[in-house]
Amino acid sequence: MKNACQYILIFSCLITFLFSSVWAASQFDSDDDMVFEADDSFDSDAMQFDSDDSFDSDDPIFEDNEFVSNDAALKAEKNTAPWYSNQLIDDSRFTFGYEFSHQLSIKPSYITHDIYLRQETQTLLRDNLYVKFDGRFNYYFDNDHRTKARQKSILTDTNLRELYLQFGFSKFNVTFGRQIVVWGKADTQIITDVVSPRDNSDFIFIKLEDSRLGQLMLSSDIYSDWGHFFVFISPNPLIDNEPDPGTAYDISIQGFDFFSSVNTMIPEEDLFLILDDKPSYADTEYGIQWKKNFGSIDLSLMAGYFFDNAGIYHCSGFDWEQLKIQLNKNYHPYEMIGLAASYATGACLLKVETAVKKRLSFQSIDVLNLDIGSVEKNIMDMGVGLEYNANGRYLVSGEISNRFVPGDTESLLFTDRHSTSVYTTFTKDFFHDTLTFEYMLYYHIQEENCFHQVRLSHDLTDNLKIISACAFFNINDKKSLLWFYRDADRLSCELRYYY
Amino acid sequence: MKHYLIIATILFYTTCFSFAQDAKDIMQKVIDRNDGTTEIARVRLSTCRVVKKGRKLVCADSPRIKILDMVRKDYGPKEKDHKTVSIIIEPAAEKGIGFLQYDYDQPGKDTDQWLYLSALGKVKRIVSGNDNEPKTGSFFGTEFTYEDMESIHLEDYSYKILGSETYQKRSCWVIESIPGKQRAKKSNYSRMMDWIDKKRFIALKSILFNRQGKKLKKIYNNNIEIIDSILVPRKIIVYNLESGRRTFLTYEKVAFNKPVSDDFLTQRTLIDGVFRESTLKQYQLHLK
Repeated sequence: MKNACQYILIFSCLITFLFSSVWAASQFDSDDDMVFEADDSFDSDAMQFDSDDSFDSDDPIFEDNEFVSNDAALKAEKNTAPWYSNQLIDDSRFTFGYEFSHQLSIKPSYITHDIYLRQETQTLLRDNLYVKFDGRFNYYFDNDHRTKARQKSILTDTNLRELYLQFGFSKFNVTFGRQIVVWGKADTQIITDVVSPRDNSDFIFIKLEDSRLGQLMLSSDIYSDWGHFFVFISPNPLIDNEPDPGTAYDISIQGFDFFSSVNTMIPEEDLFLILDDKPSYADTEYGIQWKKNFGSIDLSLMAGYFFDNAGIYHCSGFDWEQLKIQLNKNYHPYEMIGLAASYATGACLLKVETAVKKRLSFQSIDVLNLDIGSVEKNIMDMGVGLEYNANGRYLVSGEISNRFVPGDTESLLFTDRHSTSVYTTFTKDFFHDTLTFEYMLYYHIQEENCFHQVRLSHDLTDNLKIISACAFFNINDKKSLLWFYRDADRLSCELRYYY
Repeated sequence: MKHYLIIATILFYTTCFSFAQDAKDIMQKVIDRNDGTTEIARVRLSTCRVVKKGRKLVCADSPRIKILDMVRKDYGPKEKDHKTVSIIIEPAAEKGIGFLQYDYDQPGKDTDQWLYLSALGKVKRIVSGNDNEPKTGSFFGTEFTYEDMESIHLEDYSYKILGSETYQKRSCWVIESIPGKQRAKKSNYSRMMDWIDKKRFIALKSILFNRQGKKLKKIYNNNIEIIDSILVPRKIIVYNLESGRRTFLTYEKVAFNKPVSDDFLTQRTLIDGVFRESTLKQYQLHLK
């Protein structure tokens, strides 16, 4: 009886094994013959599984009445407008914004209070001809600091950020017009990102991506097996847009500390006559960039001849008619070679950026001779950064950058031998990526100045976004430029509607 | 007697292994199902929180909608490496954002990803996270995670046929996939159940269980059509049972195996407007 049981057990196992092997072989004997009858292959009754798992009876029924725009022809049939007007509207984005901010130290006054309309259009005019337009119309209310500075009830202005034509060919393109060019990897310090000037009229409260200003250029991208080359020439380079006189962030030339050991407000119009010598058509900027990707490494090299986007003052005499010291504001040329690289590994992105700037001018001051002038130096800027992505839970980034100015720096204004700053951000998304929290810290090591910003951005709908931010300054160094902004703590709010 | 028991035990385990092997073979067929060497598509992603209204689940609020133009090309001897470029068309707030991704079949090789933010005007390399823990970030704010969009490596899981049943009038195997030790560390799921169409080797439905073993998501592949000789579910529904949200991924238009230039799957597409738009316009003539 015992033996019989053993044989039955072995026999049953053998039969099952043979059955399954034959069945498996019959299923997958040929790639071309993947269709077979389920009933022949598998005895579903014999292989029932746990009732909890086997029959998922609670399949939901979804309402599915969403409009799907999958018929371009239908669209064209309904719309009788000319093709170019349809295309221009389809390829455009409009942003209507309302923003205000409040400086905490001057309650209850507004700093900014404005509305704007921005149009961004990128469209193909012909198979190889493309146009980009990015322009903005601003309307400032009477309590905006820019309106108040001009003593007007309202103020309007327009800002043409970009307008260019791009001609495409198989391995290169040629672009002509007003363009913004972004170089480098660093997020804060300007190391190699020196091509496009910036709008500083609202101090640091204009986001980096909005602060870049376009300038007239002829440029070309060349794509080859050797990498991506970008060359440009800018016949009339623009300069940074500084705060207008009398506005909240205008410090003019109050940094010239002849008369006191402590920086004091020296109203520009009382003592100085400024002659702004902006670069002209004779002052041409040009540069080249090479970029290539090597697996996890992105590498770029840059070189160029530039005009400094920030001006340097020179004492050029005394105006006896107005009894003022005459200052010329010049934008000095310099040469730069730079390198930027990033390396991605796992959750981390390592970034390195460095530039050598030759004959870069610095503001100098000769207290004994009461002279204001400039000194040229060959300097080195360097930055190292690390980004860490915690698998989508949050993002942390840190960046440390240093400017090294060799030689004597005693006579230089707001310039030390080393200027080192640390920049960190923490970003986290909530509510299915519709709410973004961002904390940013900037710390200058030598000056011990600190700046914090908390920013919340919430997508109320697909088209409506509200952004609020709070910025705090902790400025300790009386000799630093930021000393003038020690009370600039600010609360701001912006509503954007995209369509 | 001892010998018989040993033989019986060996035969028993061999039999079990044989069934496991069958499940694995089925999944191999599913993974190897021809998805085309290239794919050009306009994809719509619609996500909302759902509430029960009668027998139906309806959106409780306005759905968040994203429309993407997407181009994919496969590389490698088995065409298991993928390069994909995606450009956001809608919503207006995100219009022009581009995403380039290189996925590799080679185990342990990190995905390369670049993001082009039109507002920032530069291409930024991004990292998706540590490989030793689950990626929790969602794909463009939908109920898909990046893990849901990744290619499955057959060897990462053990498989078992749980049974057979008719689903959507199709005879299906119900196959359980359990991630192996290495995969389990970085997966959001502890277990998956797939309803595999026996004739077409395509998953019609999947249930994904979270790391605690609770049902987390249900995925439905609907409106399955043959386009350019490729079997494609034109509508994929993800229903997250935890969050009570659903995403419809709809292929508004799609084409397969059309010629796609290698140059298009590079950073050039993200930054070179004239190249991107003119090439995409040519590609989109194939869309159905």
